[in-house]
Amino acid sequence: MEKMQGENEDGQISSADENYNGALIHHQSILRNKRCLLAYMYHRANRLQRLRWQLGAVLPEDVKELLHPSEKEFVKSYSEALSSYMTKLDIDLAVDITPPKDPYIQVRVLNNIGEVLLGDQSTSLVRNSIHFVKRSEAETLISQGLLEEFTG
Amino acid sequence: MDSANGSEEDALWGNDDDGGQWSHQDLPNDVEVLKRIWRNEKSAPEILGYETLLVERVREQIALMEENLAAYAESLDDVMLSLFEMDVNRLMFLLRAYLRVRLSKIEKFALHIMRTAELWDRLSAQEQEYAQKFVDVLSKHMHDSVLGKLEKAYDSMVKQAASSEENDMIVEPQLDTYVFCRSKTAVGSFQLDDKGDETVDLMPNDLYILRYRPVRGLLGTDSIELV
Repeated sequence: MEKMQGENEDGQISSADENYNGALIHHQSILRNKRCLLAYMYHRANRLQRLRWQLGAVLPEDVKELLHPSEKEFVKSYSEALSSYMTKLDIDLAVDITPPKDPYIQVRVLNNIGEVLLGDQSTSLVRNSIHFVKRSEAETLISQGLLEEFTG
Repeated sequence: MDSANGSEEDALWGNDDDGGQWSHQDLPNDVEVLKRIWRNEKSAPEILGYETLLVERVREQIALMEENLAAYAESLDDVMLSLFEMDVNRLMFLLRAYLRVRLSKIEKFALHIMRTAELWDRLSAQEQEYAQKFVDVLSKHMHDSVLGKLEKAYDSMVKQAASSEENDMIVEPQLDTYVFCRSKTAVGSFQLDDKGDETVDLMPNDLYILRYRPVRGLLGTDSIELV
């Protein structure tokens, strides 16, 4: 490419020009395709990162089957990098996405889980029962989809 | 963290400014400082310096508060207990939010941060490790899925083609975005432009909307804060 550009510096039309324009178009379209592909993969990678923050280290099955194998690798290694950072700091960064208004929160149970250790007492979580629990314990269960916040 | 007077509550809070003086008005409370640092980090388009000392102090404070909470759990009634717990939670939230904002900026601009020494120095040691790992993970993913299948000349993640002169595919933070800032001290006349065309008089406690690039320096010297 550069060679062709160099040869035509004096701007005269020569037979090399015909190839030059074709090569230029080909080159630019390769670049555009590359950028499109990378943008698509990067956007998907961003979505996966956000999912990791929302749902925790394990992805639901229906998401997993939509992924390219290297995306599965990406999710695994990203999750590892994130958890190693969090353990180094000894803070879990994925909880408390919104500022907590109350140390206790009302939750409704979605599935039958049975006996769970909440605080110092073990409560049996029957479907559709409402409990008043501490935020920190509720958060992990909420992100796994077992509880939901009960509002009004 | 203003609580009522009472020797029990005093003991519970373990004051962070000098020796037991409740002079909240003059000395900035660590919580206030953390709130301000968090707000600055949230509004700034580029990553700002990591406040190692502040984070350390805040973590010590949280640990102290939790210890005290456990120790005093029986002697206080439920309402007071939940109030103190809520305070611990909110402080933890501030700390987590600060770290999360930084992480998201690192993820967005990882390659740029790695090649700019000034920005790299603004990361804590753990953040640097994380940035390195993140770049490795991302580039491996891109290579395996897209770049590995392209010709040698086009397989770089940072250059469009081998014939590009510099790494032109790296995302850089937009330093020319507008930010809201409040001036804390009177800086006087401040030049916004290299040409000396626009000057702004910065009086204390005034709110401005300015482009980020010219006020970067002021942010470093703490004369303004971002809102």
